[in-house]
Amino acid sequence: MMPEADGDTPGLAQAARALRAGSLSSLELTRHCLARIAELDPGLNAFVTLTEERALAAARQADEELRAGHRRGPLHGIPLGLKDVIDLAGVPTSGQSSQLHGHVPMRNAAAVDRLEQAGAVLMGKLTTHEFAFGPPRWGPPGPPARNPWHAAHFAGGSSSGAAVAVASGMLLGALGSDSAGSVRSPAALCGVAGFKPTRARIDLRGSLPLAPSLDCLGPLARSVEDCALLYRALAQPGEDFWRADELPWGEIRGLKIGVVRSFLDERSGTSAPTRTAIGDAIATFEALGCEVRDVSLPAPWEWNAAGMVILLGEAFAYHEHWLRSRPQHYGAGLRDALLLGATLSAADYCRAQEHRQALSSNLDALLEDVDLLLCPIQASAAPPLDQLTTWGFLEKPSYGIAFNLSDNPALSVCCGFGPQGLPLALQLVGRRNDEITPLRAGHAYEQACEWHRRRPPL
Amino acid sequence: MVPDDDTQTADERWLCAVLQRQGLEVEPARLAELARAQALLARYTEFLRQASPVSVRHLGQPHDA
Repeated sequence: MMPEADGDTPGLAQAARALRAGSLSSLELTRHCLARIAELDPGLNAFVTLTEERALAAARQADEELRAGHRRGPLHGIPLGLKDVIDLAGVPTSGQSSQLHGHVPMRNAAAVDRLEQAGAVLMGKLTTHEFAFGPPRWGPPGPPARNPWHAAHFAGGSSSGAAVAVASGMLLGALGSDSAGSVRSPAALCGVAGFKPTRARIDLRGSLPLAPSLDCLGPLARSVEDCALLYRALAQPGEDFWRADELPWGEIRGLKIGVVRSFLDERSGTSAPTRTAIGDAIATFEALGCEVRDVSLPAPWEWNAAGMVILLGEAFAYHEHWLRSRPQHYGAGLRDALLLGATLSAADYCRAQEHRQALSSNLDALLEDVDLLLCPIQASAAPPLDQLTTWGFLEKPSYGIAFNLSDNPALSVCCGFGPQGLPLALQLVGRRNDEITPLRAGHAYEQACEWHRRRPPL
Repeated sequence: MVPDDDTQTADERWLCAVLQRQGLEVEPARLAELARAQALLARYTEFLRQASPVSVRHLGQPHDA
């Protein structure tokens, strides 16, 4: 079997089955991805560093092991990428910043060790925003990633390269980081699935911090099933774990879903197409037998208030030394954003943490009555790159940061397409440490709608 | 550091002073824009100040108010 008959890249689960059956080799699949990268990446800028030789060597090793019957699991022989804030031994971690010029880590990040132990073929480092926070940047060390559905549009951030590479079939999956929606938002804008688990589930050691009390790592892939396979390999084993090849799917009839109206109504800033698409998704969940009802949470801007004060305070603490000693090595956009953290007082930070506790308690109480929350992850489809504003993170509501604050697992799933053919998405939020319920519901939704099977016009 | 001049607004002067005190600098051409962002952030910190139950404004309430 060659990747798809139409030249499309197979999904991760599909490729894993073909590799297991011996109808596809890892080397064929890796070469296919390298050809996609050569063809598409000059226009999409998903890669910062391509590790071609390393990937081909890993693919050959995977094939040898698979032929010998030593299968390590569903990621064995699968081409994946890493956001360039996550260390891969011997390969530069740039953080998309001149500050880290020449920085080559000696050791893998803990999560990368898990991927390598699972037999993954690591293809390289993927475009991000500077230190996973700055605005898209046109100067060195690299240009911003472009949305494969419309190259003039934003790919989301900050795991932009990861979402672009997966959506365009350059990779079958990727690992990103998420402190305020940075896995889920680019996944949403590029029409793929993105999952932020409970923070402690994926080991953060060896990834660049942005805001340590909010930071998480999470997978992006074309489908929820593929995301679940990645998550299973990345996560610290837990009592609720499923066997690597047997995903915990099944009936979602009777699942209680709370629709967060304060995140969805017109006052929250969502566009009409987003509200329509999510309305249709709600009807789908009802048709699948779920009990759907409205629930109430404080408005997104209130979460943003606590979240941005915490994020800016923690990011400033991390960068303070370089802001004093070598500020010229930051892009202007990130440097200004980090300087905002210097204007916060200890009292501001404490009050934000206190408000975080109150908001999280409110959310915990809701999740005693329902199994899952449903809300948007983006206000609308991807805007044109030239319409982005420098201070959008302060001016516009964030639908993602709430669940970094509360540390609940949250999944972004494509739920339709807007007027310009750009993807729209919804977010499913589970109880803390219950990663299975949002994944199971997201998978059932995808099987009912199949939005995830659409491909960008490349 | 941006020299104090008469064309700066009060917010810009405050911002310069806060940064200078910490040994930090802002590019002169970006001062107005950064002051605008700081005003946006101040809306959040003011909201959090008003929302906080832990303050001498609430003196007499139990510790876990």
